[in-house]
Amino acid sequence: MKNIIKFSALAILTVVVGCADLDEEPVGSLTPVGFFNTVDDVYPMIDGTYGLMASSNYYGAGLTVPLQLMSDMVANGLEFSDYAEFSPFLTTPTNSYVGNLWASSYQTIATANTAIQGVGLLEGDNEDEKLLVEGEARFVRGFLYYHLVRLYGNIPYIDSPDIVDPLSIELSTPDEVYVKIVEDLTFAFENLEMDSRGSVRSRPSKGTAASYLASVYMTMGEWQKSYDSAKWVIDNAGELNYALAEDFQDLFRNSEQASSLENIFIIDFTANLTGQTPNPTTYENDGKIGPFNGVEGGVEPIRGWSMLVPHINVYTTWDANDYRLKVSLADSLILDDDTDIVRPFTDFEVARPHIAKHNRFPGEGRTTAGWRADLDYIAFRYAEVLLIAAEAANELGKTTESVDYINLIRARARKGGVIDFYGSGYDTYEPSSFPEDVLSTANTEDLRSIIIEERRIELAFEYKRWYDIVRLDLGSEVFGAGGLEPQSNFNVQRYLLPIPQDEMNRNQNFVQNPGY
Amino acid sequence: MKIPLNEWRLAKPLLKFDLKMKLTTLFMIATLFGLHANNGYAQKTKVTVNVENTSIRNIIDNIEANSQFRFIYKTKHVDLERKISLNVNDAQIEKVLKSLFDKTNTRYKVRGAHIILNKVLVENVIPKVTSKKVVTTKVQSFVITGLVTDENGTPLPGANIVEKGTVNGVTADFDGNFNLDLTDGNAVLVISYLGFATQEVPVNQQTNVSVRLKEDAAGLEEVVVVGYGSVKKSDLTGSVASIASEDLVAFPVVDAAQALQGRAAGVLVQSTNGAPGSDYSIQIRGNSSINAGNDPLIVVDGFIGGVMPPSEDIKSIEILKDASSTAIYGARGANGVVIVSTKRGTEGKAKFNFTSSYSLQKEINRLDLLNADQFTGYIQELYPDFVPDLTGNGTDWQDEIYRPGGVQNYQLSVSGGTENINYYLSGAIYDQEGVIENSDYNRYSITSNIDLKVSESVKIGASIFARSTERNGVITQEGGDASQTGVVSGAYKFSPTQGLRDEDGDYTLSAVGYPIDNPYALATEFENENISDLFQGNLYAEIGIFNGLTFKTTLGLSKIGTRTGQYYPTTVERGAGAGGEATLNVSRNTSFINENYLTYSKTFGEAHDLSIMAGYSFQKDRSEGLDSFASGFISDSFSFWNLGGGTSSSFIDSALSETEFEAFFGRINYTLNNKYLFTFTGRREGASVFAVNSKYGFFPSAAFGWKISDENFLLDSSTISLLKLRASYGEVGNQAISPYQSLASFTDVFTTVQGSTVAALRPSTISNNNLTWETTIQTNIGLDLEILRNRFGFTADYYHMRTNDLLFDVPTPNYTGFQSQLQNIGSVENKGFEFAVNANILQNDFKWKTYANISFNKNEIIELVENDTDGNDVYYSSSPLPGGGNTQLLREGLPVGQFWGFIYDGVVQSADEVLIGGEEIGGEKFKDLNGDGELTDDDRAIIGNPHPDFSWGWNNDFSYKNLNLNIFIQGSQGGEMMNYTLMELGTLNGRTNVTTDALNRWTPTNTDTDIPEARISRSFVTSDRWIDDASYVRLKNVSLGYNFPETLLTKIHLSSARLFISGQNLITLTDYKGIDPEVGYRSSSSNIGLDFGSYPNVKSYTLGLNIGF
Repeated sequence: MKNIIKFSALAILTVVVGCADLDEEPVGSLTPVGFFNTVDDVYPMIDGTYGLMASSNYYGAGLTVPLQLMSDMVANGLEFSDYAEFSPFLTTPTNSYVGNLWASSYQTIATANTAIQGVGLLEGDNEDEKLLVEGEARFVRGFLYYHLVRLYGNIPYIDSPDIVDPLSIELSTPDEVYVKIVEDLTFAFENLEMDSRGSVRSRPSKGTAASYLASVYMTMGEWQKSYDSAKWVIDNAGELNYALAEDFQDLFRNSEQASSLENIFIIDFTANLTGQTPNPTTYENDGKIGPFNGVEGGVEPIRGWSMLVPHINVYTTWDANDYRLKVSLADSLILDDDTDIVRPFTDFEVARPHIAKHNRFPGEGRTTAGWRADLDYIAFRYAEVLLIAAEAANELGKTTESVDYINLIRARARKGGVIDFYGSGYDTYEPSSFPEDVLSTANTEDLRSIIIEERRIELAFEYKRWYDIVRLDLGSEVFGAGGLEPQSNFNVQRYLLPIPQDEMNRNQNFVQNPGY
Repeated sequence: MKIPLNEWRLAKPLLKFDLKMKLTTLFMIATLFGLHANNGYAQKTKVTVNVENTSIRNIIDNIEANSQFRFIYKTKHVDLERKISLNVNDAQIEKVLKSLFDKTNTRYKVRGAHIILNKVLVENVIPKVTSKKVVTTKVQSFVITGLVTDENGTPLPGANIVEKGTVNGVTADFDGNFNLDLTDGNAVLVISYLGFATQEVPVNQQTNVSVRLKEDAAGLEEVVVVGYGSVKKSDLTGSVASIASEDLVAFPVVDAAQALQGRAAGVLVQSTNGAPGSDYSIQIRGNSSINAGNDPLIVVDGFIGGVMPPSEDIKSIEILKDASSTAIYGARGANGVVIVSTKRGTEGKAKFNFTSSYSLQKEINRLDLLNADQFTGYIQELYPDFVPDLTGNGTDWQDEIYRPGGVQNYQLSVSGGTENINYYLSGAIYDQEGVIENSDYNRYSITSNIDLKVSESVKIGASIFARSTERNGVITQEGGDASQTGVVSGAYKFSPTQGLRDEDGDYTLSAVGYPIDNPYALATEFENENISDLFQGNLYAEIGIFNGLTFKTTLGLSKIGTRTGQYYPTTVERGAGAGGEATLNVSRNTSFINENYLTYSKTFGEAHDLSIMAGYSFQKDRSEGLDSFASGFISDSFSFWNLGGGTSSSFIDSALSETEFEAFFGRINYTLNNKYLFTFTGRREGASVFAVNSKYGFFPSAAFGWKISDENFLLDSSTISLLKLRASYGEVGNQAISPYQSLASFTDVFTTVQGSTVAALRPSTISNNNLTWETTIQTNIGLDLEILRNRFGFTADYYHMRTNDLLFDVPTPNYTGFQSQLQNIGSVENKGFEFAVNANILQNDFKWKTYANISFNKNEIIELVENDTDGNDVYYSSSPLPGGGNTQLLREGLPVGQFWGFIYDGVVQSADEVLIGGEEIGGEKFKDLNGDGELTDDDRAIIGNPHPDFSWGWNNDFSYKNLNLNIFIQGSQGGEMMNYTLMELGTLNGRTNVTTDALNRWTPTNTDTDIPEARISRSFVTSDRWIDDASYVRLKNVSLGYNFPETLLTKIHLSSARLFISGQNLITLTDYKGIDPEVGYRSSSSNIGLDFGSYPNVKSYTLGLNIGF
């Protein structure tokens, strides 16, 4: 008896000694170890980047609000916290949006880097699939750095989710970063297919990569390469399924967005769905441009907060015959006074015409709080490819070709269309003679101005104008006394945002942009 | 010192009635637990026995086989081998038994189907008669005088001298002399003294006796439980405080932790909220951590991380404080270890103990608030159009929510044993009605400890604890915005000008400020039910392998299942907005533990005592959770039981986490010449929560003790009976981090494509492959002194603890894509003194025994992580109120959790005192610290320190004859509290009712005041206006007990009976302006000394009875 008990107890001991396993294998949460097995494991990580882009920290507001405000097309209406610093160029390194935009950009870059790293961990020899998924991830990374380098100038270039010693990282110059961006976008161009994943324009295709390459080369002043990329897109527009929309308004009409052939890259937002209930604490799927542009006290859905409102010069200098003016701005609106009378903008609380592109047809389900509409944000559309081609052709001396591209844009604008929103601008706009075609006799210098002005009008409020001002060093002109939006604080050092102060404090290698 | 008053009494047999009582009780228990005995069985059942020359054993087997009768007997009480012949047909069992046992010394009893056989204890009948004689004969004709000394002739003051078999006794005086009247000259004296063997001295007609008591090693050498073993108290080298069971049950407590308050030096126990069933936090020797938790490790009967049973079932609690004693628990010992030993049976007859008490409870304090008329005056100053519904006194909302509370507490235990089996069985019920409407808590528990001696060398046993609790709670200590106002805050804030219901019969919403529910509605309508079931079992086997070497293995399992259901009906504001809001959360926690260790003890020669222990431990914890929420119900009647019926938003979530530990541990105790004590311990511990590069750590300690009193020069001292010096040094860990924190992880991103959601991820945390435990390096120097053998004892300790590798969420550069990473950075220091004194001041008829302790701790942050803009300082907010900014600060060189804010400087009295950004005349004035004429964030400073300078407890036991009195006083000195309750009320911005201080507010006609004028625009400003000295002295317990005299007990067949009345928290001396300085809000390592909307602690009046039989 005694021995039996003893031995069985000792047996328990030896059995148990063998069974400790201190490796952690969490079940309810995901960890990288062993996660990436097939390309289907990588795509959710890439899709994560689109989710992060469609948040109020990035395309929903964090990126797009400063881009609108810093341009000469939009100024502060009713002021709102740190956002108020951008338009008058009073931005400081501690501005919270400067920091948030930086942080959210790098968070999305880390997500793209994780996806790219994940591709490297995949097993099997399905090289084509791997190249395709890597192409998409690298497009995203290129896209994100393209915004970052234009906004902040010298930036840390991070291309791996595992940074051994983060504090040893140094800033890269824009030239160095552009080399990387071109590498990523070229890789994407070479490996993506003619159609995007799921045939949706919120995912990149070969055409998307080529369009962005055209834009990047344009910014770099590499006109031949820019022309080649744009030309490739135009030549392959049929296969890529790209074309200008018939009615300019339909580009900003939610019901037409999904089928629009003009969109090359969009940020997908959806109303009435949030990541968390009952109390959403994240800002995913949260687009605020519509309500920020909207009219305080106006009727739904243009009702908004009058935060980002064009300077009155934008309206007064815009040819009243331009259909695009009607689409882009609301100069009258039914106000929330139970009279149903369309009031002129002089009756608005901020007595200026307001931007209507992003809120006249936002789709169903726009929440009363103002955000979360179905309207997708256009990041790139075919009209811009034509304008880039026009600009590059002009710089390369191909004047006739350049003029032809501009006139395609103008011809569409002349067609007019239907604005069937009873609250503001309600009308059927018959085809008109404005804007008339550009004559092929224009010289390079004049054509350069015409193109940039065409970009300003065609792409008004679409987050492009600031980059044009920086790229072409137009600041002194457009913010000067004769400009649309005089800003006495402007100087060329304001072409760049400051590196966020927190980041400056953390990394001794960083050098602040001049003027901050 | 405990006088063993019962010792001789228990020896006095009361068997006949005693047994009956016990059996009755046993059957009562049997009924209680559902083993229903059929009383009519014996009458109805007929038995046939036809045997020739058959042993009783076989006959019993035969009867059991053919009927449902079961015999209960001890083999030694029944002569089973006796053979008889018997022929009975269809007879009643009584008749059969009579035939079997008539004229033997076996007696029988039939109880339903049970037949109890017992021995006729003839010899035991006689003393009963004798005792009767003693009682009835009151002749005391014989006087004896005497002297009690130890073997060296040193007098033993306070020795007990009792006439055997009676309650007649005295105590020796200071010189050891006594005299006693006896019934006759042939009586026997029983002389006892703690630490000495009890001696019986026959008087034999002598008139003077001299008694020399021998030291009783077992009695003197009080044994203290330490990790994986026990040591003689005099051989302790570490710092260990021991709390005995009588202190744990001095008054009814919901949780044994509560009973520890003030009982041991260096141990700080605080209620986190006064609500029924709320937890008590235990903190040993200060805050050693900032982010990883400061809770000590609880070990219950060897079960690491176990749950303490009710205090009535606990024999003793040992608190291990220094590294020498805690390092044996390795990575889990840095915050100290609380070792709980539950009661076990001892050999002897079944002893029953029944305790019953009822307490009447009342909230400890209230705030003085404005009545309706005063409130109207105040509000109309801001809103002249305000029209009150009620005038005069209006509604006193504190009256509405408070009610008399009460606690019923019952415990019945039975313990006893034979040579081979010891048992302790107990059932306890604790039932509390809270002092706020609709709040209550009840607890049912069973404790069962069995020890079985299988053979001379093998012992096995089990400790089982099962508990079920149910708590109905109201919202208190709420956070967030005003819409979440709880019941207590609501009672302070709600306007007294409104009634319970409006004219439509609906509950009123506040007419001023945020439209909050009235507190009565919130208390009574909101449902919040928490049910928790616990099973905790630990089996052990102890095997003596050969002389001095034993092996012990334990196998423990605990399961805790909890369910919390909450429902906001449409009758309250939150539910009305959502159509009813229901939450149902369920969790299950399982812990499995196996420990095996060998102990070897041997004495080599005269001088060397060696004891070695070594073992292995494995533990696996698993935690599952399911949370669900739904809203928008057709009817409130579903409560939280029809989540599927929710028509509005809903969500569901689940989580699983697992943790494993394994450890090798060992200890060497070596004693040289019984004077020099050495202890070495070590534990190599691995925990799954640590990162891949640092799964295992080693935690060593060493200690030295010197029994100076055993050196030759003190050996003969009659004054100093013990003088010991202790010194220890060691390293201990704190592993209190959640699982999976060292791993990189992915999290969901919400993404849509053309209106449909798609699965999307992002990396959410960055891995830290070096993440590890916090390590505390501790040095302890202590002194133990005993004078005049237990007459006076003194313990002093000095300790120094430095905790390194503090866990911090360190901000990482954002370009990494992550905001922060959990890292081991920073260190904190705690050092302090602890003193404890015990003394038997009076030892005559009137006895006074006292125990006091005091502890001083100094906490200091040595190193913090460098963060962004504030250097190494860490600012944070603990404020429940919006807009108050950061209210607390961590700074190197200062204690954890300094209060941070403006310095209040009275009321702005003149225009030249007005600061830019500050208030106008009549407003709050704050010091312009940087002198720039503006009130900005730069004018904030450190405005308070929540850490007390010292805390203390003082316990007194007085007794006179059968009366005893316990007075327990406890206090804390020098800590400050931030009172967010008064901050919310005292901001005087017309959104709440306010305290009567507001009657003295600044007005153009009342300018000589430091209460500012009422002002609508005033926001919450954190300043020292809301910081108070929270020092207090509290009469924690007074209890008066009466022990029924032996003579009476004998008549009613009880062995002991005590009736007591007591009061808790009766008197508090404090300057604190809130309702109670002894509260905690959001208590955590870095949030100390906060007060907001707490459920008040209570004053209780208790009547109780304790019976032994």
